[in-house]
Amino acid sequence: MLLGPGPENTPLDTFDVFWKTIDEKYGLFPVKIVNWDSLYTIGRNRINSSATEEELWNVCSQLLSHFDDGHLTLINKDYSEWYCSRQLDPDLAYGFSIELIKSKFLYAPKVTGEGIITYGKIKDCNLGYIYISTFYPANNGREWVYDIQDVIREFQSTDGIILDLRNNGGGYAVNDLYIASVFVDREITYCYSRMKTGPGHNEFGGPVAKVIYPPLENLRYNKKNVLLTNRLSGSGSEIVALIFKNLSYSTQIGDTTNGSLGEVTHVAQLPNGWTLNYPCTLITLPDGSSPEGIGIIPEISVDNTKTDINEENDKVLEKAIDFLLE
Amino acid sequence: MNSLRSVYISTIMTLCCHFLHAQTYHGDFIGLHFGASNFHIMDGHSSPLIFQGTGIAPSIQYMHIGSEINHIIDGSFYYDNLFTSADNFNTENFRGRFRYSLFCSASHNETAARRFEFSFGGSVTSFYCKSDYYFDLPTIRARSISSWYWSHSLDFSTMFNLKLSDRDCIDFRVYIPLVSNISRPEFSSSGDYDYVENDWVIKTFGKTEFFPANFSVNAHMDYRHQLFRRIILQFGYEFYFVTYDQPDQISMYMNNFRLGMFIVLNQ
Repeated sequence: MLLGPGPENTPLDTFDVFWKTIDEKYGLFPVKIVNWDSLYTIGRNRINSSATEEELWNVCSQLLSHFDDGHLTLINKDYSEWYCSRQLDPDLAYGFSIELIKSKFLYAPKVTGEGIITYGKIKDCNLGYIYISTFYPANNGREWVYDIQDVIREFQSTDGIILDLRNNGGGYAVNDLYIASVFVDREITYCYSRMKTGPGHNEFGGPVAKVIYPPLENLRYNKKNVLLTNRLSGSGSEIVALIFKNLSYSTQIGDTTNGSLGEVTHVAQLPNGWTLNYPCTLITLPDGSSPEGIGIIPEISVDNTKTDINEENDKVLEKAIDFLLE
Repeated sequence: MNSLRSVYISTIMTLCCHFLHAQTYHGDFIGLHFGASNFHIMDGHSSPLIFQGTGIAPSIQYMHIGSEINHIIDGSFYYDNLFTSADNFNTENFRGRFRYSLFCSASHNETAARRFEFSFGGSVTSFYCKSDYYFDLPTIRARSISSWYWSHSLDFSTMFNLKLSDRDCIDFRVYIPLVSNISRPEFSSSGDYDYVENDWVIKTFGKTEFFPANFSVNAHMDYRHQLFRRIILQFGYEFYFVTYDQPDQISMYMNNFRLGMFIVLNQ
């Protein structure tokens, strides 16, 4: 009673909390062309007090689709349904196969880091290959990321490394930054982060420089490298790509990354038990622009189709090998 | 109905009998109390939902009761698991308070049967409230956000004391903060896993506010009965309410009931 009525588990209250949460807390309005006030009217008119959960879900997800943001997701109460604001062609995932790479391109491939890191020397040349499938923690909670040290030690005598982040949708920032740091030769300010300071769409604090530092000398790899990306390389993978853009000895090959760089995702609670994940901070480049919704564009654009993989071709990796051997 | 009426009548008669034996007492007392807390919170920084639950509320208290000046030092701890309308969300809440209060006797009225005393003064209070908001996934309980409210305040306080007999008395105390320094998270959530500047790192001090911002009322009503020469039994009720609007609206209240004992250090 003293705290007011509070939102109840009704379709209208849930919709209102959903809309207001995005309105006040979502951090990427400045780079998204979305008229959120108009969408409230449209959505609210389609909801009434007797709306079913499915009807409410459809309205909320349709509103979210206007943002085209890979970090903006709506999840139902029992986690059986998940809607991501950025909808990509599901066939994109089939433009990459680690099994194909292991069988066709690698000599004695190894798996470490609780199954997250696959690595090996490329056949018939002195190049190393590292594939990292995710930046999330391992299922058993072990700090898998430190296993990269053993891989780098093993590859110290190679002429170059291919770091493959295709189909890697990101995860914990601490992991992607650790992996990136291994390839960094100096202190680099790779982007700026601006945090929301109030409910207005443009209420942000000043830019905070995001800086990465190289590790100890014997843990670095500062020779030539190629970073492989595709449209499913999102979030943390894009941060790695952003950092590598500062390295003169690094080249990005593949497709443009996902374009979902909004840092710091928060889980909001809706009255009906749904959760809404949204980014709170705006990432900008040193020139003030934002790669949000665009992605990190490779120096050399090559992409595989599902057919390429089925025919046991990985044009992206082949291009990377040729590039490093030139 | 008749039995309820009998309880009322016997209670009133008992209290009236106590009035006939009223006498003052002074001295130093230290006590330990245990009880339950019913807590409600709405913290817009973390969730728009109201969470509530019942938990534990132990406290420790030192009192110096003089003829004109009273000193009270008390520390309380509260722990609750809170629930809301959606059963897959829950919150773990810790609260703690430390306070020093000084009361000066303003007026008193003493008869052979009883003594009323009205005091006022000030107190220094530090109240801390930390909430971890969780949501249940099919296999794990995941934390969505943490939030805190930490207030350090200079309060206006009043105490009304009624001595019922040489063994019994009732205290009624109210605390209202006049100047507060409040630490809260930043507006923007920091759900990220390694972002240490916001939610995961609690700041001790924050913004200074003057009454009525950070409006808060803390009321205590304690009944004490001297069991033996050096042992006093206390039954207490506490109500606490606070509302503050930075960076988002936070409001909370709690009702606490405690039972405990004082040891009489000297009298």
